Amino acid sequence: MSLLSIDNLSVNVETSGEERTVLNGLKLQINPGEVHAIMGPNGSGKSTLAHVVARKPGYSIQSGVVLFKNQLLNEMEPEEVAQLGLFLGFQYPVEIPGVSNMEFLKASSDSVNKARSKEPESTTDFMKRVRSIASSLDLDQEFLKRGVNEGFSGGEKKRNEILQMLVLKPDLALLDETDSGLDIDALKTVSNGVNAFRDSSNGVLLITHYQRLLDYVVPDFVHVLSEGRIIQSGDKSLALELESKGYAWLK
Amino acid sequence: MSQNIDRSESFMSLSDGEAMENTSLILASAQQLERWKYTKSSDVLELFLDTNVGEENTVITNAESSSIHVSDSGLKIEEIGRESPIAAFGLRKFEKINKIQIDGNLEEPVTLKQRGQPLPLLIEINDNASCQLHEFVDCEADAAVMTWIKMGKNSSLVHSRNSFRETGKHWQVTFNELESGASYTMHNHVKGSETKRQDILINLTGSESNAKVISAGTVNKDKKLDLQIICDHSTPRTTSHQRIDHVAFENGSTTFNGRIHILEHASGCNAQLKNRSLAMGSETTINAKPELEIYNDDVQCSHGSTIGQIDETQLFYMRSRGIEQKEAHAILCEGFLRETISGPLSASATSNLIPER
Ligand SMILES: Nc1ncnc2c1ncn2[C@@H]1O[C@H](COP(=O)(O)OP(=O)(O)OP(=O)(O)O)[C@@H](O)[C@H]1O
Ligand SMILES: [Mg+2]
Repeated sequence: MSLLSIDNLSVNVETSGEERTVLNGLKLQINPGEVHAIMGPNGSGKSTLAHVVARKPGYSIQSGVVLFKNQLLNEMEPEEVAQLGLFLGFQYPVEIPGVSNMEFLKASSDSVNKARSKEPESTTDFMKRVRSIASSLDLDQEFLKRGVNEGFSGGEKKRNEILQMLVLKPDLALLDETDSGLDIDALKTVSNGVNAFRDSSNGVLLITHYQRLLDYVVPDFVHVLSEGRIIQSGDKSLALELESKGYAWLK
Repeated sequence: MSQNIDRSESFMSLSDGEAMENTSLILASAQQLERWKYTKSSDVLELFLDTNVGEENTVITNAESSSIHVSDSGLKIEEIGRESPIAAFGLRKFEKINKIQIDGNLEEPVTLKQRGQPLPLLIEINDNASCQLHEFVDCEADAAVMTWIKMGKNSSLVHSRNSFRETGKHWQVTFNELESGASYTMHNHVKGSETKRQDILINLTGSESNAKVISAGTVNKDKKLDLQIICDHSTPRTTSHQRIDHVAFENGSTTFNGRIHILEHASGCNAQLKNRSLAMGSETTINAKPELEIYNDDVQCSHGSTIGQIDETQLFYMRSRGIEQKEAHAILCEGFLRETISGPLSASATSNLIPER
């Protein structure tokens, strides 16, 4: 069974009354144990793909199917997809002042457990687990008490996304430019986090502009997204080729 | 401004209707002809007219302390004076009031439960005395609850008030007079009802007195909340701080009108007002109006009011972590009110104001 299977996906967005096609006949399959990377020019539809899979409101699916663990996502609510085991690491993580990071994590974890008819983790066990994950990501414990992403630096926000991923243990993680804005050490730390997460039953989709991330988290497949569809797929060497040649040669 | 309004002398001989009209006029003139825009004064004044008042409706605990004196005092309308037309109106109706006098430093809080239609209450805090007041306004039906707080020199009061009834029309008026060096803090937690109007009228009559009002309010479907605060800086070097947050759910209506007056001779005053309102559903009504009236150059003032809607990106972020929409709303509401649910009664305020998850 594949984790994610997308076929012939076309998606429109509406801006100031005008319909615009952003994804156009996209096809992608991710199996358990695989790491995929998607690269592509700005505005090619990478984040849109991640948003559509995570069921962000505002996108209208014109055609195609999105299956996650054999369930049709097309009509699902965002929380249902998350409860099913999908995680989206945001390109721009959102600040929620007044809601502490720890409280937010606990609410997320409890919701996911509840949806799976599992008992919530005890608060002390949970906090212990979160603290140890935070220190593995070089995130000071103080970040757990602060408002969600409130006043975090760009790199701290990205590490906080990885923290959430490791706490929630999804089956598939879509990481949208989690490497952007990270310093060299943080890139290694985050990569270690992703590698620790990887196993034979789950999957990762990395959206990135930089080949460098792929030195640390080695993908099984690299795809190039352009104008809403995948125009080229290959292995890690494709990323190196893109780095030296740019995207123009593919057209 | 019209000055030929009958203030008190023949007040007792007027008919109810005349007295009400009279009081409305005095109120209008006291508020610089700012008509009560949001809740008509007649609506709330009527609450005084046909209610059965009961002394037993005010329950005071911790009254055994030797520093507390409880009585029903035979206060006269003339004593209430010209500044408190509503108090005069209430007193005219009820003819007597309850009185608590504090003349020491109380360690334990005084607890006050208001039910039914309580008598107006006068709380006198003597010079240098200090206490904490925990007030639970729990009137099931229509009621007007009037509290008049007179604070002596260098006295201090921390007043926490929870008012969560959602049925009936309620009017809660608090007058505060602070002599020099007195310090008043109010932690107000309130839920809208059929109509709930709260007036907090603070007069900083003595220099270096200070007042702080921190208020969190939520309004559920089809309910109304109207909070009016007037802070008069009548003397030099007085400070006031208002921090007011309101959340309106679907079809709820909230109003906040916060006024700061700084009189001509009141130099060196500091007045701060910050108000935020959040609409968490469709068809909500939010009115917010901070007002400054300053007749002195040597003052420090700031006031700000913001009205916002639920942030869709925050909502999606939470839902993308598996949190149900309803729970996400509750969490965002709690986050929004975090700064204003405060003081010793904040735990019960959180459970009453924040929607169930
Ligand atoms: N909600 C929206 N409303 C209007 N336009 C949108 C919306 N979402 C996406 N778009 C447009 O769709 C195109 C694809 O956007 P998307 O964010 O998916 O690009 P991207 O590949 O992630 O780019 P980047 O590398 O800059 O992050 C862009 O032109 C963008 O402006
Ligand atoms: Mg993007």
